[in-house]
Amino acid sequence: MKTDRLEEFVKNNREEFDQFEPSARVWKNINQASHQPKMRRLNTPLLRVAAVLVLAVIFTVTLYRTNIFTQGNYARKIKDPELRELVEAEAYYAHQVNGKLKEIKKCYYTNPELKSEIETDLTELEQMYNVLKGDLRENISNKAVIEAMIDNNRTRLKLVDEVLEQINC
Amino acid sequence: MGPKEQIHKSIVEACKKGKDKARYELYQLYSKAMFNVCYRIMNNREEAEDMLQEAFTQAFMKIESFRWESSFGTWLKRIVVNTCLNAINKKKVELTYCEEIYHYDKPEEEEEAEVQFTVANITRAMELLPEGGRMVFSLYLLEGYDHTEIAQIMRITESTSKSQFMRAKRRIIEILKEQKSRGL
Repeated sequence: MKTDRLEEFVKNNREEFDQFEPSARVWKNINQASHQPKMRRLNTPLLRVAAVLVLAVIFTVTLYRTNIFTQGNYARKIKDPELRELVEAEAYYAHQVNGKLKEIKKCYYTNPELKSEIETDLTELEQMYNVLKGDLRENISNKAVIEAMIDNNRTRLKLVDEVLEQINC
Repeated sequence: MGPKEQIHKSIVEACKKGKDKARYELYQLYSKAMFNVCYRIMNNREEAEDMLQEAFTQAFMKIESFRWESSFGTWLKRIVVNTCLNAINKKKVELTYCEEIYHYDKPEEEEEAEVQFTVANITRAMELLPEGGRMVFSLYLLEGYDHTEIAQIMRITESTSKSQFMRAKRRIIEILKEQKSRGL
């Protein structure tokens, strides 16, 4: 082969082909970079645990906010039978009232004054309900309070029922 | 395993345990050779230094995964070569390769004999090669990879690697002849 002389020369002088030296900044940067991941490796599991905890807290708070805990399955876990009944009733009535309120809202268009009327009534009932809730917290499983609360719920349902009947649109 | 590699082994093992001193010793042992690998691929000092830095940082990060299936130098060199090629691929510039040169009329053997090889003039001629040809040439002749490995590393076919090597050699001799005739 005609160019074998070149190959041979390179092979025989291989060491000399490594003639350049890198500047000092390269090691400085490598040294810096090599120390950072070490720190990260230590922190990562802790960060993960922290992240999971944060997510769990957010999840729990969201559940409380959306009242999932006060409805359905959760109700069965409450030991006090009266309280459980209240929680179940609350969920039931809230569902009914909201469904009917939706129907009524459709008629706001034809009866504009309806909105303020029903919403004032409902807000009033809700305020009363909140007072009762406070009472209940102070003297838990107070039968009279619970009964009043269920009654309040019933009234709310009755109210929307009546309104719905009157307007029939 | 030779005595040199035995010494390196203890340093590598110390490096796996996170010893800073061992890390520096490894860098001192291998940085010059690896820097020249980078330089031959990148053809630019600054880029070569960036590649060297990236490759060593990577190597130190994953040194625990090095299990002596090859020598440490071979393992490190592969990281260096891959780092350089990744950087080149990221630039998304098509590599230029050596064109075929035809010489039907010249009695080459005699002319070639006139060219004097030195490390310096070969290095300079390599810098003038199209980058694809330069990479194949240095990966094969200087870094010791075979054409199968080069094909894999550069994502070209084996026959391209072979023909590029041939052309690069011829081109280097061309350049040296031109320089000689111009009195350089």
